[in-house]
Amino acid sequence: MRRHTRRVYNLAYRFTGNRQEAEDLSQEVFLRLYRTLASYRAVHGEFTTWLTSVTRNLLIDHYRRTRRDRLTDSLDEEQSPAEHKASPGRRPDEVASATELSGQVQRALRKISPELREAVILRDLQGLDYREIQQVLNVPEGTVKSRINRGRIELARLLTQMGVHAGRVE
Amino acid sequence: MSWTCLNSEERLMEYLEGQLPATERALVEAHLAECAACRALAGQVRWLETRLPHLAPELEPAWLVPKILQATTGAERKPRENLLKTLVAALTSPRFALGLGTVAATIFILFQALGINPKKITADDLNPVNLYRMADRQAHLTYARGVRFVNDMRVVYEIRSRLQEASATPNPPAEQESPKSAPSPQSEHQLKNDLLRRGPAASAALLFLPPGGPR
Repeated sequence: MRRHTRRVYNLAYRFTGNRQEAEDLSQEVFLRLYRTLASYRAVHGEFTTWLTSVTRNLLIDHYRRTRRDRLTDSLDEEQSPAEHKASPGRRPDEVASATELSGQVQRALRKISPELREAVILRDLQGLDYREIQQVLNVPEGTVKSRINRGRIELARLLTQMGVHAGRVE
Repeated sequence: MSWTCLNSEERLMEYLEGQLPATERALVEAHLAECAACRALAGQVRWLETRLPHLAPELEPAWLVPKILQATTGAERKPRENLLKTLVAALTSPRFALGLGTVAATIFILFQALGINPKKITADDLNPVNLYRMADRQAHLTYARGVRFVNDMRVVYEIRSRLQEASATPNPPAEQESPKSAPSPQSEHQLKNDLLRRGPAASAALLFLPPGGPR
């Protein structure tokens, strides 16, 4: 139970970037899951995939519901210079801790489109394979790969702008 | 066709995962060798790809799991307790006792009608084939009893009518004066013997004989 809760909470937090919303959404996911548990069949795939699909659908509903509030928030963010203050020359091995990197990734994730954001979260943070992501997002595998690729590129550019640099390709 | 930065970006994930065909891989490598921006981007993406899966997971607050359990399985326990209380209340109500008594009486009547002794009931008695045979037998017996009763009644009325005829023939004027006058002692005695010979049902006709006996 705790393992599934953590998975749902992390997915919700990475997508919304807000702990309060992630907590509320996690509760909502499990309530919906409890009500619809009887409808779960093995043909829906693994339980984890099904759980992720339910969470993702709720996140999308939540995203559409709160679009107006979020637009206001993003305008406020643009006015905040601290968020975008770059640290030129800073290398990954100089990142103080994984927690700090986690926060930077979180801030970058909020700036990319929800389609690319969810693809990157599912692949790189939730560890789903392409077939599972295809089931969750209900799109062809080619679209899944394309979204992950574009999402990673946008995330990489945003992190570079934030001063988090990687070494060159060897 | 010139290979652009966009071409490289579109194939970057497959290139980094080593899934590009040899020709396209060579084109991407050639472009990365020339374009510093794309080379830096590829390095950043590769680094990101290796670091993201190892990011520390966000820890949910400690109260979240208990609250979810309370909202789901915890809420389920209450209806179960209520259901138990409702069941006990229903079982101890007078209505249920009355219904139980009615069912017991119905079963008893059915057993009696089928000729089953409830004290010596066996598995064979509850066999549907045997139940049908017993019901069929009881139906035939009941019909036979009815037929015998009708026949007996016919005999009784026949005798009664003969008695009335016998009592009317010897003294017609007296019959007219007194309709309840008794038949002669000799004919009455003969009639009684005749009735007793015919059996128990015909003996019931004795009841129709006028009181007083032979004079």
